[in-house]
Amino acid sequence: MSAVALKRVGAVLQEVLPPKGRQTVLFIFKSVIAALLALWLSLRFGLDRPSTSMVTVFIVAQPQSGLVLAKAAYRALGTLIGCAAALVLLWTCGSVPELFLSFLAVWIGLCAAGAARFRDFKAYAFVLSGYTACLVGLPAAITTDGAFPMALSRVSEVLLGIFCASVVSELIAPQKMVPMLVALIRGRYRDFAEGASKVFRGELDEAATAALHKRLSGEIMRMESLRAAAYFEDAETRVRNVRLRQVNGDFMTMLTSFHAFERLARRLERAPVNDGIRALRLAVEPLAAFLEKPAGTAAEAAGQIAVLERIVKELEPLSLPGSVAAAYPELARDVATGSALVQQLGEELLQHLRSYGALVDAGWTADDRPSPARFVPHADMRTAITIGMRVLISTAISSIFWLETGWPQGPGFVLNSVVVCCLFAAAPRPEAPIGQMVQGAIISVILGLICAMFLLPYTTDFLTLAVVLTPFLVLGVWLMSFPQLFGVGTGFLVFFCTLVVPAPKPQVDPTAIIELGLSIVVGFMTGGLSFSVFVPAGPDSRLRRLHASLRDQLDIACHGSLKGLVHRVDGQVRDLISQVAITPAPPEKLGALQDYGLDLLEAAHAIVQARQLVDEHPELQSCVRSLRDLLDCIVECCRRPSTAARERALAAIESMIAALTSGTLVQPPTPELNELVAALHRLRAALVDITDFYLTPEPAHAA
Amino acid sequence: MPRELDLAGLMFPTLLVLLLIAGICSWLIDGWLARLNLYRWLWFAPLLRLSIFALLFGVAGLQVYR
Repeated sequence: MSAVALKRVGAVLQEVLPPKGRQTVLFIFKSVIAALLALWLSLRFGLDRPSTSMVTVFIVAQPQSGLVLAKAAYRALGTLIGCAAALVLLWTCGSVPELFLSFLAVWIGLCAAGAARFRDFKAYAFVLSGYTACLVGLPAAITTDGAFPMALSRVSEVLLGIFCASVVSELIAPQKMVPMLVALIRGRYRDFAEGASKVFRGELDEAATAALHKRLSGEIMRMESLRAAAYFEDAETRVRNVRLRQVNGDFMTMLTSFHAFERLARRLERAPVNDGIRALRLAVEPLAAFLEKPAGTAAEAAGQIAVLERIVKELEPLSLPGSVAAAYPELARDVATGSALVQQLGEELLQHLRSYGALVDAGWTADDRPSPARFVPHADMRTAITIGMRVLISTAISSIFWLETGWPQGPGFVLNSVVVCCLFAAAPRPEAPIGQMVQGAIISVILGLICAMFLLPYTTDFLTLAVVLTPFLVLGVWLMSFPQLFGVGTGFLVFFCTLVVPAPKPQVDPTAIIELGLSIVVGFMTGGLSFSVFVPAGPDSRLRRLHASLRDQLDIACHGSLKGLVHRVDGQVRDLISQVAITPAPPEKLGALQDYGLDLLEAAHAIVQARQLVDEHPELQSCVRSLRDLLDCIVECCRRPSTAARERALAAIESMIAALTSGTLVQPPTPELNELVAALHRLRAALVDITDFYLTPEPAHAA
Repeated sequence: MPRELDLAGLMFPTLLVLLLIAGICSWLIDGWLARLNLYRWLWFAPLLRLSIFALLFGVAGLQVYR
């Protein structure tokens, strides 16, 4: 009977609400149910602070099941590690509070550095392990007795909250991410193929191509985050994890060569005669024709592999009439680059098609390639360390303040400043989310007081408690469902639960609520202050750091170990470019830096290719020395950019090309030799473009 | 099995350890089922996952509290 009634309610809701509203209602319903379930269970089990379980539910609450599970898993991991760290610290130096607190500050600094370094879900585990160590350790700094039971109850509460959130989000109308992932992979390939086929034929103008490129780059990041979340949601995705990484890596490589192609085509279009561009379009036509009808699914892609294999085998090098080649040596060089580039594009397309087609089945096959270098969204070490230092200093200062004043709410105050520092460690503009959290905290103190003074006294059992709490919880989750108010909603729910939800032996005390609320708000502000005082996180310094990290990637391409180097550099540069994109700065500044990154990526590809050729073919051994000298010139040019350094690097490339083509370095000429020459041409072309933007000496007034 | 484990003088509930072990085991079984392509034949995978976990944890818990 009730099932029929429920169905009827569902049907009415479906009719009344737009799809977006339906999502919101479902999200609110699921979150509140999960929170009340967590509250009920922890009251039944007699845990010390049922509020922690509820807070956990709200912190991991997301509309998609995969996101909930991913966040939950890392939260559990972080909590366990944090508890263990706090206990170890207490055992070793718990008797001297000053010593203990300084070690704790170092631990938190390390965790914050880790949170800044890993920019995906792992960051969350780092934040949690710092925060939990504080939560368990701080109260124990004065009296060590309660630490172990407290750590245990903390672990139990968090695990219970995680369990409830995961079960509810998985079992009640689960919102799966796997379909989104599948749609992304399919749509992305289709977009790329259609766009590329137009670009190959010269049917797309420069602005449209740039827009296409930007969108596809963004999808690489989106796929990575979707994959990371779907990993927890769906066992089939987990089994295919290596292949999904491979598809993304191959897509990146393909996109970089595609970008190189675009730029070469533009250069050839500007050339005084149009023989070059005509030859290029002619050579790439088979690929353009193939991409016109892109595969819609992995199964179709698997079916097309044989066709593409034949096309790639039959690709012909570009040919230029002898008289033109003699008259325009620059053009002849670009055409030689073009031949190699078209061949490479074909091979990379094939590679991507193979890994895309391999997604069809879940089982392992013999031809599975070894796992590629992992694409981990990283911040650079320098940034991570400065952020860690910032958190360390601010924790130390707030701890000293607490010890000196003996404020009873000191632990809460230190804890909240730590939370702020860790949570927003790597945010491009930390003031905004911190401000939202403070707003949420202030609202929670006001509403919490109202709830505690006027409503809580009437509660007699769990049912009435649930009835009293539900309106507030619904309000909080409703706020969370707006992207721009997410922080306010989360802040409100976290502190509302902490302030109001009664322990097994309830003791409602308005002054305690105000004291606690004060410590929360002041702690937040102290944490927020540390962002603007120690190592300011302004957009300009952020862009400078990103610029330096981009430049370092060229260094890595020159000297890093060759294993999986292309994927590694590709992932890093694309990640850095995406970090540039979210920096609050004028768009033309961002655009320049993003273009710089793409040019750099192209140079890096050429460098890696040249190094690989020399490394793999014994007949090219005689080039090792001159290649090393060349790479040294390039690294020098990156580290201390100046016109002279750039000229030296270009001259080194020229002289090496001359030595290779004249046969003084290697005899007799082999196909690999031609590939090496083409790679050097490509490197030269990329470097010329880079120097146009950045590698000129800085004007004197810039200092 | 004892209800509490003695860890260097600190009493540690056995159930917490069993919870973690049951979680890890059901995670492994889940991946194994997917590799055998069994999820193609299932109606509601999350329910199976939860049931496997409940079974494992229940059996383990019974060894302690019986």
